[in-house]
Order: sequence, then C-alpha cells, then structure tokens
Amino acid sequence: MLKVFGASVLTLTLLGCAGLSEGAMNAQPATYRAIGYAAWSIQSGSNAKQKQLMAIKAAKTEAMRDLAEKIHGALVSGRSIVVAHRGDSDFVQSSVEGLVRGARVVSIIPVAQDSYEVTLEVDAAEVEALRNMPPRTFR
Amino acid sequence: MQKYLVPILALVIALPTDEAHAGLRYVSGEGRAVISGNDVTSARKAALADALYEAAAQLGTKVKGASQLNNGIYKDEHSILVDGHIRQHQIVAEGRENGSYFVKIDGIGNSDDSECGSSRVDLDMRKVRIQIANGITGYNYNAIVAGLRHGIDYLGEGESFRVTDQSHLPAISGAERDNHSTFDYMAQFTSSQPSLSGYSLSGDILVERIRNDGLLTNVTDIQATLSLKLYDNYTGSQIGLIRKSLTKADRRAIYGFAEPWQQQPRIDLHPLFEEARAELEHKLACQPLRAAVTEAGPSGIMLSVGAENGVNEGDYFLLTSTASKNQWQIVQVETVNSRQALARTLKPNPKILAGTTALLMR
Repeated sequence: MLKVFGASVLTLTLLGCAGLSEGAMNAQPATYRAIGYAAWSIQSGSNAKQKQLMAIKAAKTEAMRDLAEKIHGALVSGRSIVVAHRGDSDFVQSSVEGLVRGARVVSIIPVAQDSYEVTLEVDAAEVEALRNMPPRTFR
Repeated sequence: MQKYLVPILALVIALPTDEAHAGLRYVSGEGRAVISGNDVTSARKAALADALYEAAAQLGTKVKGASQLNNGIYKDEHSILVDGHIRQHQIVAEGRENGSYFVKIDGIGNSDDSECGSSRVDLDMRKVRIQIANGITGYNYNAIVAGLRHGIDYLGEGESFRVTDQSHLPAISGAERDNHSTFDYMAQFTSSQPSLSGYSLSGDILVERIRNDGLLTNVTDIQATLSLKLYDNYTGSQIGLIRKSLTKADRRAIYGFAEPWQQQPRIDLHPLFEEARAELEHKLACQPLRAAVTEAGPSGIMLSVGAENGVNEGDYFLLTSTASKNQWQIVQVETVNSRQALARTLKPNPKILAGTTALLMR
C-alpha cells in the first residue's frame, strides 16, 4: 500500500511539474520586471544624501542589466579544471549586451539598513519589438 | 550631482535632431538632486538634467555587463549608455523634499525607424486623369480598359495606407466608369473633400501608341505611362513622385500585307500598377499617422482614425494647441472601433478643440 501511495505521489508530483513547466513556457507576461540593489554606504559623495542618490542610480543600473538579460538573454561561458581528481580551478563568466527601451521605474524602496531596491518594468510588446530588431553591436 | 550635469545635458542635447521619418514616443522622468547649502537653483537644474536623463533612457538604453566567478570570488561590472532625443518636455511637478530638489517631467521623444509599417495612413485618390490614345482600338483597347479598372482597384489595396475614398468605389458600376468620351474614371472623386490628416494621390495615366516603322515594316508599340504625385494634405507639400512606364509590342506587319506577321498577345497593365503600388507602400510606410479631432468634450476626444489605421487601445497621440505651438497635450486611446478612436487627455491643460491634428506616438 505504501508503495502504491509513494508511486501515486511521485506521479502527481511529476505531472504537476510538467504542467507548471509547460505553462511557464507558454505564458506571455504582460510586462517584464527586474530588480536592482545597491548599498549607499559604499557610494562616493560628500554627504549621506548624495550617497543615497548615487545608490539609487547604481540600483537602477543593476536593474537595467537584469532587464537586458531577461530581454536578450545572457552568454555564459566557463572553464573547470580537475587535475588528478582534485579541483584545480573554476571560472564562470556571464555577459549581456543589448538595447532596452521603454523601461520605467516602478518603485524605489529603502531596504535593510543602508540599501535601496529599485524595480524597473517594460511592456511585453516593447520587448517583442526589440527582439524583432536586427542585431546591433556597440562599443 | 552637479558634476554630472554637464555630461548629461551634453548627451541629451548632442543627440541627432534630423529624423524626418522617426516616430514619436511619450516619455516621462523624475530627477533628484541634493541642495548644497542654499543653492536651490543649481539643485533644480541638476534635478531637471536627471529627469531628462531618465526620460531619454526610455527611448533607448544600451546595456553591457559581465559577471565573473573565479575560484569562488565573485566580481561584476556593468554600464549603461543612454541614447535618446527628447524633442519637447515640460515640468509637471517640482519642489523641495527632505533636503533635495525633485523635478518630474513629461516629454516627447524620437523613436527609431524600426516601427515603420505598424500603422496605415489615410490616402485620398484624387484627379487621376486617364487618357487612351484614339489609335488604340479592338482587343487591345478592351484589354487596356479592363487593365486600368483592375489596376486602380489594385493600387488602392495597400498595406501601409487606407484609401478613404474606397467607400465610393462600389457605387461606380462598370458602365459608368467605362466613359469613352473622357476616359476619366476618377472624375467622380474630385468633388469629395481630402482628409486633412492624410495624404493625396493625383496625376495622369497615359496610354499611347508609338510608331517605329521601317522602310517596309509597320511596327508599333503601346506605351503606358503612370505619373502620380503624392501630397501631404496637412502641409500641402508634394512628398513623392511615382513614375512608371511599360512598353508592349503592338503591330508587326509588312506594308502591303493586311495580316501582321506576328500576332501580339494582349497588353497586361498589371506589372505597371504592381510597381507603382510597391513604391507607394514604400513612401507611405514610414509616414507618421495623423488624425483629426472630430469631437472634444467631457467624455473624451474623438479621433478620426481607428483599427483600420492600426490604432490600438493604449496608444498615445500628441496634440499641439492651435493657440500656441509650445503647448501640447497627450491623449491616450481608450476604445477603438474600425474608423474612430476615443481618447482621454493626460493633463487638464491645454484644452483641445475639434479640428486639432493629432500625431500617433509609439
């Protein structure tokens, strides 16, 4: 009985996963959102207020990068070397390059002791238009 | 913050300004700057520059970034380059807040040409004068009349434009259009009013016979020439000339023999109209979509374009006040039917009057 119960649970779990995965693949979000964080204590600036504004800018930039990854994807490369069954070195790099248009600030929230969280959003139609544009290379 | 003012302003101002066919986009931005000492003026300027930067970022931001994980040590670096041209902007809110100055703006920016063909402009076909030389008779004449009739219909079925006089076409039966005395099929349209927000096409189609006789041979060709001028109804200026020509062998005979030595197939005018429509599509695909305000009231602003023009719910239109070119209003489309759109203004002022021209922004 336990075996049957276990098998049923496994089957249900697998079905659930498949459904979720398929749904996630087919779902077209109305908007794409990205979040960036930055601590203001490490920013350059002559006073706390200026550092806070710089932190918001840094968080926006990070969110913009996250958005670019969601729109254009990221190129991941890596190299792991094992010598005589012992890990010798491990290197992973991910990079992104792309154009983002129509991104707007959804919220700027102070979090933890000295950080800011910035949420950016872009419409799915905008993303679709960007993806259909011919690829560009820029410096 | 002030040290960023000069490069930011330089970037925003130095961006290209000559984008004749570029689309427009509604953008907004909010900027902040710390008030150092009591220098509110500098803080205000810095906040405005910041707001312009944020608004310009909506037009195009190039993002580059890389993250590395090297033997457990994480390092990342990313940069953004803002590249957008703000044509006009206005401050919608500003003030002091917790030791800093904030400025909120909205504005109109240029978007790039990649959106060509996403809308259909209105086109009036007017005064297309058709002449067929008297010497053309028989089966060739019949083929030309049929070809012109079909060709004009074909010309009006574009993807980047919508012929506003199309509704008149079914009313004209074959017999009315087959007017032997003038060959002017389009004369019926000359009394209708052109759409102020659209474009007009007028010109001539001439079908003539050209003689290329030799000493003993009687050689004639039929040449059809289409010459159409494209006008912008709003500015009144000519924005294009479409000139296409097609030559087809007609008679090949030897003097003294009644029968031609070679029977020529009927003339087919379709390639002529095919080329003309392709050029018309090309010229109109990147033209801005304009609309006229047909009604303005508390329930909203009614625009003279609709789903047939490619207008969607949520689209923005820019309206410039007739009283002052520096005052503009933005409306957002709420509902669309096939030929009209109902929009709502985003700001209380300036007031919009019927007859104002609106420009689609995307």
